Amino acid sequence: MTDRVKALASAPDTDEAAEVDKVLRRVEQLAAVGAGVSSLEALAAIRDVEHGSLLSWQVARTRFPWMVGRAARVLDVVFDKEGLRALHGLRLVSAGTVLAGRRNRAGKRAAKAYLAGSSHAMRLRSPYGSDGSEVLLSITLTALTLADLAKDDARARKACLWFIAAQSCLSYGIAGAAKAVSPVWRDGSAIRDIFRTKIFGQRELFRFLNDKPRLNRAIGWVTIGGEALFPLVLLAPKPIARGLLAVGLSFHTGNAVAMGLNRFVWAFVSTYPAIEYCARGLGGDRRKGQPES
Amino acid sequence: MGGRQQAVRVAVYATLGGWLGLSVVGQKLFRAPGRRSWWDKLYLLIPDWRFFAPDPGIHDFHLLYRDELEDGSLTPWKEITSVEERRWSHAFWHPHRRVEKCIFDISKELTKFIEECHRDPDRPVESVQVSVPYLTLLAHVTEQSHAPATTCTQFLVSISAGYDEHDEPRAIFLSALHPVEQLASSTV
Repeated sequence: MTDRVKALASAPDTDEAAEVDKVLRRVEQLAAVGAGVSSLEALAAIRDVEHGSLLSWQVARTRFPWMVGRAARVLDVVFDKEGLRALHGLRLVSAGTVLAGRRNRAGKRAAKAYLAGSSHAMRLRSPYGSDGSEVLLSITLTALTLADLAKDDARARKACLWFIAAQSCLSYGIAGAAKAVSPVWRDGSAIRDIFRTKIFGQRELFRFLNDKPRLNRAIGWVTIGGEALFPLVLLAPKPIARGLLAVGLSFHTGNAVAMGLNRFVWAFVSTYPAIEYCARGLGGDRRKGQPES
Repeated sequence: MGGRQQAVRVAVYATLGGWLGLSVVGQKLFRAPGRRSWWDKLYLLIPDWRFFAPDPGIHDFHLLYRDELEDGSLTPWKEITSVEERRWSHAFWHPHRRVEKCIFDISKELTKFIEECHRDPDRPVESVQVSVPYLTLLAHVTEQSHAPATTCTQFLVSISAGYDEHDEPRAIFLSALHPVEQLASSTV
């Protein structure tokens, strides 16, 4: 009888652990796609890291004194063109391993750890050409690796989900606040002037926006509002929380089309299952010890 | 709960809590361009989540070079940066984005370095010539094709307003003249 009571008492914990596993699985699948796309692109553009290019290891290795010390023997192999080809090839295999079914748990854990480690290594190699999507992806992959280290400890694994959600919400909130204090974002000229550049913009969009200051101002304020208010997703009631996630997804999709920021979609959307899990209006209440009727 | 599990939980909490705490504290809405703070040096650990703010990138950066020939004459400037026109496929597939953005990142770091030199009397502005951004551009330029009579090469970073042709492009950095042979024999 006592065992039966204990079993019944632990049932919600088991359910919660299963749900945490499920959410982590969704996060890792999306992050693996992001890492895979990133490495596939790096392999397709491997000539961009050749000797003498702006991304070559030739000068990048002098950024930190220790890089040309004892570590050079290893780094010069890993971070030069052929080393990078192998590094990204292994990342592709790792992304595939993570995406493959639920079997081979040890292999998947190793794959996630490799994706996390190699993401940090790539950022260490050179900051040139990198962007916020790579930063967020490396943070997410590291948290997933820590969740694997915690194995069956649902509370520690849950902390990893909260960490991913918190970093993602922090990024939106800070991006919104930094735009809110900027005169060029408030008057909308930032929108027109970003789209006039070839690196981030688009010819047709610039022509369209060039003589529409009111529209630019409106887009500027929508961007400020959307980013600054996004962290409310954690506290807002369900319809608003869902709306904020939809706005976030549309925002990144729009940026991918208009600005060519394709990798941001995977990096940010991979954090959404964690946000959904932690958000009060999207199920957070139920998990705080209030079983569904 | 076993001792190992407890230890792992504490380690996970400490790592994630510490990382998140530093990430929150390390966010600075305004960063002085000519001053590198302690937080800036931790860029590998602490993200800068400001994304295009407060001052977004509103210029394209261009890298040009010219050669000085044996008779002392200078060749015309030649641009060696190129950016693909935006295409729908970039929404899914954008492999050259990294190298295209390089000149943007390098130029930003170069100008920041020079501003730091102006603020610090102990750092002569000539020290820029041994900085990573300068050497990266120089190494790239020396790999380009040069006329046989070339003795020295020089690069220029300029900015333009991209598709907005009302703004004239302007030079923001001119390098020293560097002997080409000397560079070729001593890899930077």
